[in-house]
Amino acid sequence: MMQFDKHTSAQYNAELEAARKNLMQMGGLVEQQVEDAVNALTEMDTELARKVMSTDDNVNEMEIDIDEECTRILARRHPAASDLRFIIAVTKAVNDLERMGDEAAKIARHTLELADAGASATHVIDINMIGDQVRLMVQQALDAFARLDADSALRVLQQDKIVDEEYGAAIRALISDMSQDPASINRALGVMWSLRSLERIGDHARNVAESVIYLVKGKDVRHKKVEQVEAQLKG
Amino acid sequence: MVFLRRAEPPQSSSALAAASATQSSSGFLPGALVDRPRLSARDISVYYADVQAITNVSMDVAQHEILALIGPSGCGKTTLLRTFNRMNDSVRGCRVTGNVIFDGEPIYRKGVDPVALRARMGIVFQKPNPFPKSIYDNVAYGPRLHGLVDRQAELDEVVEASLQRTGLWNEVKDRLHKPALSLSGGQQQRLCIARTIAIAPEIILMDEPCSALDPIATARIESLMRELARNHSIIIVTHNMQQAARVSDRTAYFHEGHLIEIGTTDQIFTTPEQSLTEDYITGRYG
Amino acid sequence: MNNTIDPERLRQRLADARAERLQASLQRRHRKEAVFRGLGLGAVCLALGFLAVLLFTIFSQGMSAFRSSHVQLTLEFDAQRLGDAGSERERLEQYQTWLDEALLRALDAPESRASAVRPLLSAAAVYQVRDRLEDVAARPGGRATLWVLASDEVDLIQTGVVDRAWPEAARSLSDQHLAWIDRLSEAELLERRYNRAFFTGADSREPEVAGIWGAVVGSFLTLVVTLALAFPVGVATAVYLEEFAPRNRLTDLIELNINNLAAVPSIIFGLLGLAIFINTLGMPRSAPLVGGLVLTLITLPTIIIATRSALRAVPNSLRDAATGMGASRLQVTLHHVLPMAMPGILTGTIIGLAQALGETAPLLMIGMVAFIANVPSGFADPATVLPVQIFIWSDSPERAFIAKTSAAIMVLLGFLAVMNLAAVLLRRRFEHRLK
Repeated sequence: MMQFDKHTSAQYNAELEAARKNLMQMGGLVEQQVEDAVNALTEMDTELARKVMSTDDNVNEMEIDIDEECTRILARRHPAASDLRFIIAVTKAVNDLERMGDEAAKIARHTLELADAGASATHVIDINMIGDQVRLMVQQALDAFARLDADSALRVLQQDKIVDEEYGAAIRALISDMSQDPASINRALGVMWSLRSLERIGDHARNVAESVIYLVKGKDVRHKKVEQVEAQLKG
Repeated sequence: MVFLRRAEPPQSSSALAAASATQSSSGFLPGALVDRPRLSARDISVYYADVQAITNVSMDVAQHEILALIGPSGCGKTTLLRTFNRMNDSVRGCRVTGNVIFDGEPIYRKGVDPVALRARMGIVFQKPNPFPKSIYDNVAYGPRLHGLVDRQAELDEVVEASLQRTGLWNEVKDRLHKPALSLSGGQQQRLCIARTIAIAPEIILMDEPCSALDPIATARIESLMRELARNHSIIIVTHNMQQAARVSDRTAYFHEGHLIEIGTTDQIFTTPEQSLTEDYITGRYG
Repeated sequence: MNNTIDPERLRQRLADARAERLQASLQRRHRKEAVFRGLGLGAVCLALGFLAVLLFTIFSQGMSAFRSSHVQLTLEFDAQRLGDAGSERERLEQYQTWLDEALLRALDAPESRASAVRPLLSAAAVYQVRDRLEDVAARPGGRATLWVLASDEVDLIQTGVVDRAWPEAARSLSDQHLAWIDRLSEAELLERRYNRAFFTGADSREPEVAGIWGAVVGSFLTLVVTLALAFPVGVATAVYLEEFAPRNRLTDLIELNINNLAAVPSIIFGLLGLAIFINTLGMPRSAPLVGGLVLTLITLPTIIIATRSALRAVPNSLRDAATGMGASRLQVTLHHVLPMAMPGILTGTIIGLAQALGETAPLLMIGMVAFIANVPSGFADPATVLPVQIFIWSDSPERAFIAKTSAAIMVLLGFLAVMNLAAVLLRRRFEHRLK
């Protein structure tokens, strides 16, 4: 469907390919960041948490670089049709990835705070379960972008719905814990904020997947229920 | 300019086949028809001797719209444009089948006077081609030719109004009787447009009207086209896809004499349905 | 040898060799250019040289023809004697007598016979006397002083064409005549004056009175006929072929024939004219009308070809513009194409006419080579034309015609130059108007 090597202008091909490669690189970095943040939280690994926070600077730099690249292509190449959708999708995905990085850094910060308070790892199961799923979503969204696969992008959307449900359940569990054991409130809040960040990362992964669908199908599926999107893609 | 091509199966025949497969059984592409069309091509094919330049094109032009015809060189878009006002009649060996319906009347039929037709369908060419006469005489030529006015004062009014509408009046009002060829390229092209609208055509055909002009002059003409579209239907052939994207309401993409896709300009330039269209407008052609 | 090409090494090698080889190849090229320029310049110089020799010969031979020797005589006449003379012939005899007397008086040789001194004067001198005396004939008598034409032999002596040093037998004038010439010169009664007869007279057997006016008028009348026929017919043909005719085998054939017609030797057209216009249609021989018809045939292809190329040079965008405005075929042609092509058409026409003006052979065939001593006054009058006049004079035995021939060539060249100049001016004016 999308081929960067078919333009009459070889430089244009190279520019688009570079944008794609950089996006994937940034995606890989963010994916790693999310994974590290989850691990740091579940294992109370302060070292790893610090690494996650420092990686965020790299991610921010990449965001700026890729945005610049996209602006340049817009100004000089006047992309149209799939090229235009590609550039739009890249700038949006970059934005989402950067926000994921921010959320990962937030999780790392909560980990450090919890560690300072001398807390040991708690709610590992919830965090691990949601964390794994979110990481998988990020991975799948990026994968869908790389392969321009609208179907796997749709699966990300479906997964986000599940994550949202699980997040709700986990939060409810945390609240009941807090009401039973007021002394754990501080610790539980840290976990809650972290879960909240994970859920946000899932939302951003969903955004990336929506961008992929726009890129591949030319259809705007934002702010729609998954069932509606499914119907739209089939129709 | 018409590039001729032998009527052999195009190279990318699979894409072309895919494109023609989307034609419904009635032979119309989705988006080719409009409500109450001003001009309709029905199954138009054009041949130059044994070379087929256009194959079975059917489409409508709506009232007061700007329709852009785009496509690679030799795709037949200029030929189609010239088919609309029967300018191809004077081309040796040119043969047209199918018909063009203008105002409910077929124009390729015995008894239709192409001269009368052209009085209702103005055309603007690629290269500014004012007559080697004065500015005034250029604009007055059409009204005089068709006897549209009775008195000199009336003619003066028509000339002034036409020049006003093309934004040329203030630039030339002090030298109306100077040779038209002393104007700049952009002014000459606007003069040609003024000359065309002086006979109040219902449709204006434009054949790459800006290809010889600089970007500023081009922008002037493009904004003028928007103005004109309030009273006229405009069909513009252009090589410049950005121009088609900027000025037109609908865009039709032609490839090797076939109408591949037609739709709103927004749709064609963001989400074209045919891969041939996609390849062309993203610069993957050839 | 290594068969695979290493692009880097190839580039390096080319770069190394470039400066040197470029230098060598540049020198070679410059040398070739210099040789070529030299050859071209040489060709131009050679052509100019030939032209200069031609013009010099013509001018040096012809200039003397614009003046002719005249003798000043004082006539003593008596109107009574004229009145007695009844017929024109008797009157001329009377004038001749007075002329002879006056010449003898001027030579101070009363003992000589009139017939001995007559070779000094032109045969036309008596007519000059008549013309002069006719208006004074009302007077009863008296004296009249006038310049009369000397004979061509005297003029040849005066211009040095005939050398006095030649033996008497080689000259047509005797030593006695030379002595008389000297006497007249000393008395300032013999001098070379403006030769009015050359510009106003028709052809004559007497070189001193032979003029080109008859030929000029003949040429003019012939060209009028040619222009009146060839221009409209030629332009109409070209316009039809170029703007209206369908392109098919028939029009191709017509085009081919027109081009071939331009290459047909002109004498063939003369034969055609003789056979059709004179023999079949019974038109008068030697007439400008027939000459013009024949020249029309010769000029037509030129005008048609020139007009067609002028029409073809009109950009199609102009036709498109007019057609797009709703002009009909004819309107497109009349309003736009023809005016734009007019400079080219007029230039072609003038060049065609200039060619016709210089045409000789076909006119010989239709009898315009006859000796015609009158200036033609109509299209059916016998006439000759300038180039034929040149041909006739160059063929005449009298030495004095050599100068006349060159002078007539100068006049012809003058007309051609004026026509070419007109073509240039016309074109410039039209082009200026279009700009």
